[in-house]
Amino acid sequence: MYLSYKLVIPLLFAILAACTDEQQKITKQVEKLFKGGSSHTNNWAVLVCTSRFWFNYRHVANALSVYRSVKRLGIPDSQIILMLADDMACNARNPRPGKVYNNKDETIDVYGSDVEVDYRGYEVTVENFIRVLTGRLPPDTPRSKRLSTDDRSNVLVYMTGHGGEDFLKFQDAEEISNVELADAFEQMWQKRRYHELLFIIDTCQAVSMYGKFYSPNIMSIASSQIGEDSLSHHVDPTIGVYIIDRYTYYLLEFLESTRPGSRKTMAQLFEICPRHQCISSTGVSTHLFRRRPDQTLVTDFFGSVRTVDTSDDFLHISPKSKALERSTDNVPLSRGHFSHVTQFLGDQLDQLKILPQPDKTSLGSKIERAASAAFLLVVVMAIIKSLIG
Amino acid sequence: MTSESKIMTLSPSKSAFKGHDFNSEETQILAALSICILFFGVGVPVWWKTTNVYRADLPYHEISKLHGERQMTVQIFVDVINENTPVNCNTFTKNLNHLLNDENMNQTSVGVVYKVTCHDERETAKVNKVNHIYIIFTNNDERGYGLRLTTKREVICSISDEKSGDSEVLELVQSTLTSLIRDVMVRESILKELVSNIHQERKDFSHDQEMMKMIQGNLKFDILFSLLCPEPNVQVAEWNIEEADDLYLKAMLEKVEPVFDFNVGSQTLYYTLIPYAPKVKKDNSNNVEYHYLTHNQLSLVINPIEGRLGSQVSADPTLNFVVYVTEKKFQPLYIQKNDKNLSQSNTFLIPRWGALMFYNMNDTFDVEGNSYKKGIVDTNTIMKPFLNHLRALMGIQNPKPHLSKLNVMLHQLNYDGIADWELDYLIRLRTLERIASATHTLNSLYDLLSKISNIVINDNIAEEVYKATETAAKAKALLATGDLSEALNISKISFKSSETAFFDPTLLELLYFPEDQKFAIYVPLFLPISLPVFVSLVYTIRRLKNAKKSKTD
Repeated sequence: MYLSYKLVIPLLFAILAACTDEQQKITKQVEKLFKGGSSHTNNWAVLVCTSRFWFNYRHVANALSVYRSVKRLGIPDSQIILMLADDMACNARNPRPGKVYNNKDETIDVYGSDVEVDYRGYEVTVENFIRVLTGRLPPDTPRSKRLSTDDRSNVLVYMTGHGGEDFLKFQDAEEISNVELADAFEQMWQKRRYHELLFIIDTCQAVSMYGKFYSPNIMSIASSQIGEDSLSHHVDPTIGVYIIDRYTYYLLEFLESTRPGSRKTMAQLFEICPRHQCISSTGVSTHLFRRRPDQTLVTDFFGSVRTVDTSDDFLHISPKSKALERSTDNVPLSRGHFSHVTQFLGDQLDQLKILPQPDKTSLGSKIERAASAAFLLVVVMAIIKSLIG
Repeated sequence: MTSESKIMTLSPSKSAFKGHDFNSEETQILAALSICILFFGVGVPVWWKTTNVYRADLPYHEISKLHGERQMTVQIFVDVINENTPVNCNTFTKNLNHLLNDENMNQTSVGVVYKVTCHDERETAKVNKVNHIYIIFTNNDERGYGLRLTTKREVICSISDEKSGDSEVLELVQSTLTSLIRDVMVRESILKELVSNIHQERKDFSHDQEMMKMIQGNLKFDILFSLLCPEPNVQVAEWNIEEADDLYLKAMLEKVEPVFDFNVGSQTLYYTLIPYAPKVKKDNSNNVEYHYLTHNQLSLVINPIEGRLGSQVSADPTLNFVVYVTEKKFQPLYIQKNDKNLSQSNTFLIPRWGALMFYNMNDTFDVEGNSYKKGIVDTNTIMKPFLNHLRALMGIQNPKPHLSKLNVMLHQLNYDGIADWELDYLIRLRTLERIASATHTLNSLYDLLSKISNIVINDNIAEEVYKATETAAKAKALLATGDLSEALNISKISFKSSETAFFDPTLLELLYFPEDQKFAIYVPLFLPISLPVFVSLVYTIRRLKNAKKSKTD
């Protein structure tokens, strides 16, 4: 009797396991059609730098560094909304015009040649920010300035600047309170304008800004607790101001070692910038988030890993036969809404050869040489004249 | 008037109120009372009225009623037509009715009601009306029975005379038809899942993958065909996409015109590269057989080219169908699916975005005098998978696996690419989606406006809300009676109005006037004035009491 028990129960388990295994295999196969466990289909980023003026260089560098990382990891410009005062690169005080660095070694130019700032200068206001988030923009707003997310979009919201308890200062003129921000996120949730949202804030007393959130699927990271200041990392002697904040410096260090297909998790991201490095202690809020941080990938928010479907059990569809078409000869070919554009006109395509190198003795360079010779002659004569006279 | 006389007129003894003592108690009491009355009776109401946030009238009651009764009913007509077979039409109809309508309607977001009727001839029933399903019994001499699903709305059941008397066979036919209608043609479960998802009450996730692929409820979309030639100095391609659109796409788009408004465009892009690194498959003698991309690599293919496609030029959402002419050094390039087989069509679908195909140029020919090869892209090869992808994006699932399980044959599609019953399903799906979306939007708007009292509601928004509420209720009623086409048209109006109202740019909270800061704004204005008024009122009342006491004394 006893022996038979020992046999029956494992046998039962084995049968059960086999059944559920089959079921699991089927669901796994179905899941494998798509990638990842998140079930989002696209990624967006809203990066906001709320300061202006030269001495807030570090905030612009913060926002641009995150912009660069997010672009490198795959999110296209059309899905990034960048709000900057944008008065650094061409500032009269900038010793390297057109470039913004995030490190005194000047290794990476975070401004770059392909930066696309969507809201610049005085357009960075609380009203525009709330309008972007809730989607209540005037009808003539171009697509690049709209956050056209849907219920399968993961959105990254990064804010940096000067903050206080329960508010964030916008361009020295106005503030946004944590209640308004929470309401804006709730309105996004009501219209399902995000699937999951990651909110990162790098300001003083940052934790207060996410304290009032009440919409689901939001994960928040703040660089300092209430009553603490977020400090900057180092001074660049060439420009004389602080060049980057501590939290963003370590965030960048983490992201620079992340490649597009990386499997690093958010739990690892929470570990960066501990107290002995950052002086302020970071705050994290995951109680509104559905998944566990150690099962959420960093690329779910920072990168753009698309889910794809490669199944090809297609139905056969035959084209409309030419006989049928002849009977509708008098009908115009397209419905009038069809438009075709080539990048180059057809005949210009044949001229896509390698153009000849400019001739070194062309007319232009001759004139140039003549002009410089004349100039030198004039200078020499002036010197001689001054020596004599 | 001289200043002297001015002063003199102000002195009480020489004024018009001669003899009147301004410091008498009576005057003071009267003055205090009149100021109080002015202050509280005129001032405060005027201030309240002028600083009130303008809110036009909204149909709050109707909106909450619409939301409270958000369960929807769809009625579908099933006509059983018996053409000269010995099958007893009435009994069959009764049994089928019983089988189809046996679900519990209370807990579901969408209840489907089938009205099964019996007809003797095809002509009397007027075949192929919208929202009807026709089950036609015909004679069959060869096999026992067979079911065929046509591209119209018909299920043809050919049954031999001997089998039509067999009750077991008839029962089998009934149960197959029930599964066919409920799971393949009408697809009740996905209708329910879609609607409960919109109302954020979803419990069933079995159709999640399919719903992820489907485009959302917008009314207008752009379809953009892009031909990408990454190295035109080596090989260049052309395509006759206008003819392809005419032969393949035009008919399908015309058929779904009541549901979606598609605009088609195309473009050719040169020097737009995808920076990928395909893997190499070598054969036994270590020669390169072909290149392939794995499933994981495909996920990162779209990002580099998305910015170049220019799909953000128009205001409507865009579906991109991209044909990428593979570089010469990587030819032939195939896609490896998850099960390690190679894809037959060499395309893959990106949910809600479109599809991409890797096209290996075979027939290239040297163009005189130039070093590159020129080829024509075969539009047959590209349009077939793209049309299937477009079907999936619109929401139509290929029914082959279901049908083979049920042992039903499927007729091949016509050139318009969509069967009539699939069109019915699409109309039902999108109508339900739009009504549910309008209901949910209106309810969110109601919640928002009642929670945040600082939002101005203009008259045009009120108009849109009224329109949306009325049409949503009307469309629901039409669905319940089975008038599908009219319900679709009205649901479009409802959806559009609700979206316009919710996303109106004026619906922004009056920032800088939050409730808790209103005190800080008005107290410094009112306190200095109201304090003396209030104090004098207290004194007045005290004096009046004293005067009364002294009178009664």
